[in-house]
Amino acid sequence: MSARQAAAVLFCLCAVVVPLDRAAAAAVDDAATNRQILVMLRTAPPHFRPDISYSGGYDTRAGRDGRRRTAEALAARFDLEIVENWPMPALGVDCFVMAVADRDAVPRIVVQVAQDPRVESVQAMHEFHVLAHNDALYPLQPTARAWHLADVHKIATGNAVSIAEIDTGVERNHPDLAGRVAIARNFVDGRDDVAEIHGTAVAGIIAARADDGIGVAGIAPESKLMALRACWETAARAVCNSFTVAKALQFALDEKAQVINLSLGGPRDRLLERLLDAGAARGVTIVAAVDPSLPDGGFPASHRAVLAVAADDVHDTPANVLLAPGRDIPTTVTEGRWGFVTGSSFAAAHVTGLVALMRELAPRLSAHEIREALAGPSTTSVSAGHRATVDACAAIARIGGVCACACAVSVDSRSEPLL
Amino acid sequence: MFAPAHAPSRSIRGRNRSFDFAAFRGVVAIVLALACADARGQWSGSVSVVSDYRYRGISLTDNDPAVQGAINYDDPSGFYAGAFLSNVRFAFASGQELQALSFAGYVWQLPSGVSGEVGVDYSLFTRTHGYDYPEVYTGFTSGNFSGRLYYTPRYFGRFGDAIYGELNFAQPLGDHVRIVVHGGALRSKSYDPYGGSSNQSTFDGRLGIGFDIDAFNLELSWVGVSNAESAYPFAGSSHRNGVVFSVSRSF
Repeated sequence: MSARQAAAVLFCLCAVVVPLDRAAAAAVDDAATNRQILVMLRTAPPHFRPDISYSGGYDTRAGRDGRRRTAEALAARFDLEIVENWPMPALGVDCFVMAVADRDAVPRIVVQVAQDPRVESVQAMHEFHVLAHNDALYPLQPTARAWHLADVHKIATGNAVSIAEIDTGVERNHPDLAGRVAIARNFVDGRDDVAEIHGTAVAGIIAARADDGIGVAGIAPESKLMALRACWETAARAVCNSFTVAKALQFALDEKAQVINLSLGGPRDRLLERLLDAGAARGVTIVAAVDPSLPDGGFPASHRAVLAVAADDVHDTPANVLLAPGRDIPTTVTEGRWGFVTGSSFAAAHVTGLVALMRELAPRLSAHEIREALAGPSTTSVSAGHRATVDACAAIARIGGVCACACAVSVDSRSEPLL
Repeated sequence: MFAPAHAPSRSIRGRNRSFDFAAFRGVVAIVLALACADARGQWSGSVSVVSDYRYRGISLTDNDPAVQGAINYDDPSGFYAGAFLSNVRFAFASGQELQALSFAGYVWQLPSGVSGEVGVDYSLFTRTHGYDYPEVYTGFTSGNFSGRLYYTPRYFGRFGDAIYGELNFAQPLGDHVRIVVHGGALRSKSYDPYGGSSNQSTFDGRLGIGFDIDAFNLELSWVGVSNAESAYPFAGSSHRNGVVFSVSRSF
């Protein structure tokens, strides 16, 4: 094939494919969530195949069409409609969203589909919601005093630590977030740059620019923030579903996130549990917000692989919960403004930022060591089911023996450095 | 028409033929056995047309087009097997024939997401049986990277063992476009006309862009190889580096 022929072929291919990419994304159907199920079909790990031996990566077409055929056969057998699918290589599955005609039939269909040997697992689609209120506006920044943030930033800023924020959209061009979002993806619909309040507020607490003369200072102002939109704001509240959160979790694992922030809650979800376990097995620290209205804190906070965080002004929290500032927190909000927010979502964001600082200082910390350092001398009682208020200075001192703040105040003399 | 200087003799071809077909039939039997054993297993395959069949950089069709087909079975246990067919035409041989490459292996995935594999493959040619050869391989895949190391005691029928190593990278550019990069190195024996031999290295590379359009995959690549004449018994002076276009339909 001559160079001229090759150039002509390339031009034609680009002309056909570019419009396809623009039209690729599908919007989430909010109302249909409660009559959808997630059907997981196995995917083999990538291996030698002579027909694709030159292109090795996971994202080959090989096998996808076979799974699609299997999904279509399942849809025909159980009277389902295929909505979309997403590969989840962390679990070795391809996840198909299928719609059930009658929402009341969902539990029965799940049981029936689970018995088909072609199906790896199946579950109902769950809905999640963010855990926040934004009704209080008072000029306070608790971490400036309680966590001695300025002192802490003298030794750690979260430099190059990658954090995945799975939330609503983040206003990337907010003056206090400009240049702070390294990667943004939308797993809800095909729109670019969706700015929403909750995601923007969480992003500001984690990673707002420091020392820029405006707004607030994030806990980890030099971290690498991934803004993964898996939730969307409705008139009443911000919600997500199993599929959008799972897609974002898979992306975070693919991009080798070191810390994942989940300021959301809902019912226990098997697919998300498996992804959280896969993340924990890879050494990712996962921080989740506690839903104070539920006895167990809701999911994913109740999952064993995550650090569960509640606001420190909440009294009735479940066992093994870390407490962090979560009331009247100044942070970034949409339209280039700042506001005060309240909720365990924002307590979790504080701990996420702090974990990034800890991982900058000690990249190989295990999840257990991070939990011990955050919980402090009350570790034993936390394991037994008590709460622990997070002290940033003490946590950093514990992991590295570094005196970040006024040491006489913060460092627990009984603790040993973990490194 | 000239014969390659080190092409295997007819007598060697005759001795190996029954073994070759037995090996091919064996893999087919394994595939069928695995498929029958577990309904959870998955079949997949592809049909392709390529403007030039490049195998590790070298043309196996004397720079002419080829039609190819492949079938693959993945067992839930991690075992896999399959076969690949393509028309080939060696520069020194008289006409078209088929290559049947059968393979079987085991793949596993670590919690880190990295997968490893070990396997065997056997390449069989329907006319030039002297080029038939078996291989064992081991490899890994991590995200968009993969690498494999192959060993054969007689690469394309040549006396003396050979090792081939490859690294592959695929980077998606959106949902329908990806860049593919491949680099390979072959370490094999080179024979001189006086019966002596020495080890030599041959390198190949590939840079391509792939497009998914509906159910079809289209790929345009530049492929190059160094020192091919002494590493492959059938590589003549007409061999050239160049651009390859392929259209595949997976199923």
